[in-house]
Amino acid sequence: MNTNNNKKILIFAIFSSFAGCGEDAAAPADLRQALLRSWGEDLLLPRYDAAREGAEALHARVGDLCAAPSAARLEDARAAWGEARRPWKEAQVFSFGPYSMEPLRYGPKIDFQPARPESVEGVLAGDGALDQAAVSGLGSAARGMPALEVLLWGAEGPVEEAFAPGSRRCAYLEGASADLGATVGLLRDAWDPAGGGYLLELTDPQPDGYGDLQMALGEVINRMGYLLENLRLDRLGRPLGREFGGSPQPEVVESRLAGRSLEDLRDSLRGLELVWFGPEERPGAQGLSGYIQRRSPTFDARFREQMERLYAALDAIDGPLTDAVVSDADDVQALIDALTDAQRFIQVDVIGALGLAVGFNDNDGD
Amino acid sequence: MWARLTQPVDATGLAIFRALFGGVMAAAALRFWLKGWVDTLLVEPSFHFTWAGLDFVRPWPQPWMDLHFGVMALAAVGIALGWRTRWCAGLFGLLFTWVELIDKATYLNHYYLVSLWAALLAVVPAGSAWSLDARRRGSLRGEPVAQGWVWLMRAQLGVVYGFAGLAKLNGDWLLRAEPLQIWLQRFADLPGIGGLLTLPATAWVMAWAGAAYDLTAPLGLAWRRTRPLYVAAALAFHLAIWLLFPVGMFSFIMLASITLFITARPVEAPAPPSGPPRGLQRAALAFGAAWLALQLALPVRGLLYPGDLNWTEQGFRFAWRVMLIEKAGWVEYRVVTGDPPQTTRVSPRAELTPLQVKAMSTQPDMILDYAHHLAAKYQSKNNTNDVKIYADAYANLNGRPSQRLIDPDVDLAAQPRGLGHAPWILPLLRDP
Repeated sequence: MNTNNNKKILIFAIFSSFAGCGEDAAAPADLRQALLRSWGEDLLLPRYDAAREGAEALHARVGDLCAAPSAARLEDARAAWGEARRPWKEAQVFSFGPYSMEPLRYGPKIDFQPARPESVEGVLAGDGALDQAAVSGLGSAARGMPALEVLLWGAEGPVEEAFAPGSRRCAYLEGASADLGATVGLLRDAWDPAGGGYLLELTDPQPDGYGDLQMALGEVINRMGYLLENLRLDRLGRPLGREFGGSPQPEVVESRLAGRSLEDLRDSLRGLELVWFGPEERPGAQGLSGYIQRRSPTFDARFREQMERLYAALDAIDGPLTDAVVSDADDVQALIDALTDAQRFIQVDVIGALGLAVGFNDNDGD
Repeated sequence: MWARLTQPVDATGLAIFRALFGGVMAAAALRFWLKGWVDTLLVEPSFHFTWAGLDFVRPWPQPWMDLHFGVMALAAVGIALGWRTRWCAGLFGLLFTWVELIDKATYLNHYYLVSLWAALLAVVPAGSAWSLDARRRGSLRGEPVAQGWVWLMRAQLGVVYGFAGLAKLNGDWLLRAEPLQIWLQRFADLPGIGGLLTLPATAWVMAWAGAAYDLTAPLGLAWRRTRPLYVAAALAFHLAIWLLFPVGMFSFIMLASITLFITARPVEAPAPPSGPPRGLQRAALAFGAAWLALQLALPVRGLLYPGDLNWTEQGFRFAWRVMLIEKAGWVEYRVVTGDPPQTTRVSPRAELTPLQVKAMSTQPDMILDYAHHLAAKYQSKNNTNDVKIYADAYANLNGRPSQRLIDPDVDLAAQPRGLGHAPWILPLLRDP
């Protein structure tokens, strides 16, 4: 029985019958619903739009590069790759639903980490077609942003030769960048209430889904914690190696070829701030801040404190991260420690204060 | 006293309870199966938090687990109809308790109560009236039962209410109205009633009224003059809990149990034998006394452990400490192997289900259980006994700031499972 929604309807009906306030049926929407909707419409969809537009710009720059290869045009293409990546990482809290669930599971098709140059080189060494349709049929390690990173940063020799018009590298770049834009578009549409509608799973939860708004809100806030865990364990902990085998592994650093690992981290942290405060550029956009203030006014200050510590620790690392995990390990560890505290703040203090400890079903009773 | 215990009384209340209990349990088994919980909660997890000494209790492979639930539901129907009542109750109790013992993560107080009711129904003559058993013996109306059996059942319910009430006599419940203040926040946006439910005063009223009801319900229900008032209060109390909180079948089980207080009028019957109890009577008396002694002892065992029971949770289960805590937690392990020592960080999320992670992250004995599991896993993987397990575990209780739950410097692999005091659980330090 889920039914928390059904129960609430019952509560409301009982109350209305006693109080004669049936006209309140058109009362303002649940703040949690408004918050979840704003996260989708003001934060997630615009960032996926920006990532898709970034991928389209990258496709255009790649076309320019391959039409007349030069170092300047290669830099333009690389910059376009970074521009596409920024909004993508800012939306990383929402790495669930069509991002990770079969059969769609678009996330790994867009950003399978860490990059595997051998997969990309294997495709380059073959003789198969490399247009968009062909690339969309490749495995996750041979498409998406990491594959494009390998193609843009992994070429050897003079630019004019590596990106010669008609070369397989150029065909692969054009096919992979077109595939990237299309796949980000598919992911965006899967969330869009006017498309696949996954956002409605959160804003209008059904008994066979999240069940109620409390569970849906808990999902997003737990995902904030899981993102911090991902940054801490996968993006810093494994490369640092102290608690994952004992020795540094720079080869598993994300965006290592582009040297964008620390920027990736910064964008992900920025995404957490967007969830908490709402995107400033969208008038009326909401963030968790407005909701949690009702429980305790101290949470905003505590969140800001956590973020300031995270940014300070991030700034203290002498990049690139591939070098830092070897030569600046203590600073990397300091960032991991700050991320640990931030995760604890989200997953224990915030979740506890809002009564969001995930009750995955109503078997979870007394 | 013996004469009063053996006084024949009308068994109608007992029969109604039996029928309702069986019906609710049949529905509960069907509901559990329909929701897919047989697979997701019992069969699919690769690791189970077993109970010390009962590690052999495991889920059967499918389709046998579905069959287990099917037989359990049929046994519940048998109880409801009063068909071979004691056998059906015994079978149901065995099957239900087996399910309950598969994984600590699924422990619920009302599941424990279900096991107790089933055990009692396997002994108490609950099928003596208004049952297929009674009809088979010649009269659907059946025979009276000894008053002692009715008292035993009522006493069991009194233990539940009484200890639930006593557990509420703490600072968080009475002086901060927590965790109700936190829980009621989820209704803030409910049109109309949301504002009322989230008034601080509402949580206070509910906290004090809930404690008062629990503490006085055993006597209020037993005394004929106050019984109507308490039955009405029980209806309001349990329906409110069902409406407001995700308590599954709890409210229905408790409401079914209230019918035990339907007046059991003395009936004319052949006079009970005078003199001291003999044979089966003596066994029945001993059973009742032992049962009640155990039911009184189990809830108070928590007092033997140092620290805040709601934080350490030592002696928390099987003690009717219901709806007392809102806890959130987070735990990771450091697995240290070899010489020189090499550390591997392990998140339980990689192996456990979300429900298991949620349950274990705030319950120290489950944190220890998983540490032992990790120790065995890494001992096997590294072919060495030199494996140490440390936990970085944080939790909060009823809105307090988070703090460490487990001493991070204690090798949990070296700590025994069992009922003894666990000094590696750190005390609750900070007040809100």
